[in-house]
Amino acid sequence: MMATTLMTACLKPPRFVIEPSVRFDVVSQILRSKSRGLILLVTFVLATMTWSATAAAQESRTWTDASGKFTVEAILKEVKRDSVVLIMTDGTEKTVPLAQLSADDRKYAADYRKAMLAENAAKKKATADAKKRGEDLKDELTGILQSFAQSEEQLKQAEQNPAQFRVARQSLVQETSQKLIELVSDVPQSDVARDVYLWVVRNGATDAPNSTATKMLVEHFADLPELAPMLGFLARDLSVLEKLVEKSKDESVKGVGTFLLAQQLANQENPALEDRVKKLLNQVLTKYATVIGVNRQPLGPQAEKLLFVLEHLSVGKVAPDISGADLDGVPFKLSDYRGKVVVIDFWGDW
Amino acid sequence: MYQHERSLVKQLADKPFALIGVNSDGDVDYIKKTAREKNLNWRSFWNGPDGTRGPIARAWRIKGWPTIYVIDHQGVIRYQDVRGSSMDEAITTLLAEMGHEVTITHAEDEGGH
Repeated sequence: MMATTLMTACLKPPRFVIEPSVRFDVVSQILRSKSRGLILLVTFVLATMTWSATAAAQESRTWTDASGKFTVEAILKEVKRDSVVLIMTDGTEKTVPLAQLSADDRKYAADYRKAMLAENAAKKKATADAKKRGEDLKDELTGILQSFAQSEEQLKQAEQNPAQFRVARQSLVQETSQKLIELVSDVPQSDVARDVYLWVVRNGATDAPNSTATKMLVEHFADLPELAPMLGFLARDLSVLEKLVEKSKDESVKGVGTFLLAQQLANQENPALEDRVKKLLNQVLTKYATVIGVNRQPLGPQAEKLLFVLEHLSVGKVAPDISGADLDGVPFKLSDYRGKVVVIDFWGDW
Repeated sequence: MYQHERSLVKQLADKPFALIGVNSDGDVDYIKKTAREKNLNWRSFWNGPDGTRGPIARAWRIKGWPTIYVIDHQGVIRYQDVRGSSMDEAITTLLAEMGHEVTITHAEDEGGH
């Protein structure tokens, strides 16, 4: 959009590059009269539009024809088999046969072409390497998880006592988590790393592996909807919850995070936090009412309930009246006892 | 639990104090019989045939039983989920605010559970 406007704004009809110097002087005058920033901007816009130009940011240079009579200021965009594509100072592109260029310019174009080819090859190789490494890591991940499953099965057979099994399994989880996190330490934003962090947190690793995985998930994978149902144990920390709610673009992560944040703050029973808690709960009600919470129930009714408890059933609030009947069917009300200290005991004989 | 409550009601009979239960047993005949047999000396609302899902517990968003609220003479909730000696302390504090100094003690030998 911007590029189009810009180009049409500063455009002249296309002209052939090699032109009499009179003509060229006009072009260079335009170049001088317009700010250099504008030209750089044009270059930038073009660079973002065409892949070949991004490979090596080309500088504007003076091109000379084979006779040495004519020169023009232009940026090299692309070198083809027997021509070059130049970007003129007015933003237009011109294709010029190599045969019409001076020896220096032909060498410049040839060097550029060589550099480009080398760069492309290097890029291709890097992509291939990364892909191979990703696949290698995936294989390693599968291997480690298989060996985990085997060891777990062995433990299950060996330990009769469920408590002992849990302890033994936990240390297996820790050990495996450490290995997995080590495995992806160079590629913390990769898909394999994501799978590793999710595994570590889901399997209840503690200490360093847990905090690394949590940190990485929050840092690099905040938009992952899979995080929402895990937030109860993933984000026990207020600060982690706050960060996630702020960072994530995922509706369910934001919703569940906001609700848990409200719940945690409400649990502090600090009257100074009441307004903030209410604000969070109202956000849940207006934006995330249908999002499913960590208890697999929609957030709306839960937020409503918490809001009601906060407003009517918390220390410092007037208790809602109760009217009903006693065990003999005689009607009475809680407010009949106003003026007395009352212990209300919700009880059952079971 | 019953023992502690019976003792409280008995000791504070002449003070501005009441213990009000909300009973969540669905079977009213059973709970009437139990109240008689165990000599429960406080008044309870009955939460209805739906038991724990009855209207009063629902209105108060009760999640667990027993749940305790202590309210002052102006009807303001002052304590939540206080048991045993902390319930005694809460009651003592609130009665003191009204100018009633009480010392609550519980005998060990009362029957019932």
